[in-house]
Amino acid sequence: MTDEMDEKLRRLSEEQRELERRYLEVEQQNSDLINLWVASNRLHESLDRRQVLLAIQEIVINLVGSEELAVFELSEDGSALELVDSFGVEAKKFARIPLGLGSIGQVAREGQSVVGDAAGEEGLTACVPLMLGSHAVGAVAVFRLLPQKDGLKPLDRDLLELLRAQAGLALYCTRIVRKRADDP
Amino acid sequence: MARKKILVVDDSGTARMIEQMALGRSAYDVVQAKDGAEAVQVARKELPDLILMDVTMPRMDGFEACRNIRAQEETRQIPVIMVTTRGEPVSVETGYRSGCNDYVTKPVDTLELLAKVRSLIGE
Repeated sequence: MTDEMDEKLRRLSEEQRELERRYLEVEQQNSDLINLWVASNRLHESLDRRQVLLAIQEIVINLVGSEELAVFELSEDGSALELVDSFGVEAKKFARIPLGLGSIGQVAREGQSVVGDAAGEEGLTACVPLMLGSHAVGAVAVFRLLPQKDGLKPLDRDLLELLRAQAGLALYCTRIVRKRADDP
Repeated sequence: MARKKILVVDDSGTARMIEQMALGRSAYDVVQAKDGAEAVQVARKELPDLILMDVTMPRMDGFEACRNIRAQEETRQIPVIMVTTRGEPVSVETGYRSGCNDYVTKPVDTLELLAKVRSLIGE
């Protein structure tokens, strides 16, 4: 009888541990989804260019965890990236990057993100192209992470992918709105 | 039973939205402020059960806001969790000297945040 009870107790404890593990897993997934939903929402909640650039900045600082970033758009003639916003980096250094030059220029030319070790350039943690359909219309470069971050996690990669897929469209929409406002 | 109320203070709309959603899902009511000065006013008006305070903000930073909140009779006892991008010992110590009860670093781990909130005010 006692052995039977012990065995039941042991199985119940195991089940409880498994349920706790799964609960934490689900809560983590919910937390990740909240981050992604908020990021997407912030990118698209305004057609004001300044607000969209601010949203990109806040996503990188508050969600990814870096206070060194640069946001670029493709020049009119498509030959270079022009800096449109930055935080924590020397703006002059990144004012204009010819397409194909260095990791950032290559990302925009090829439309392929570089993340982690693949980022190449010193201090660069990740660089993602800002896509409009199949064309890169800009890029976001993320440099050093905050000291308490020990590297990019899967959620961070998802957030960068979200920027890649949606920030370009968000910025493009602000251009259209501004152009319509400027036209007589 | 009335839900506990939390004041979220951050100049970043993104940070406020994340914290609002994480806390709102967990049965807390959330009010917001965009900087330290507004936080002091809202704290006095709303008397929240806890304050989540960003550190670096315009007009009044989180440290000064915390000192102000501690100096007011009606808000003195409200627990404050600092939310900071800087986890260095100097920043943490400054936070505690300003009167905060705990801190979390950005990017905020919402599970860690919820655990700290629950430990201070329950659910």
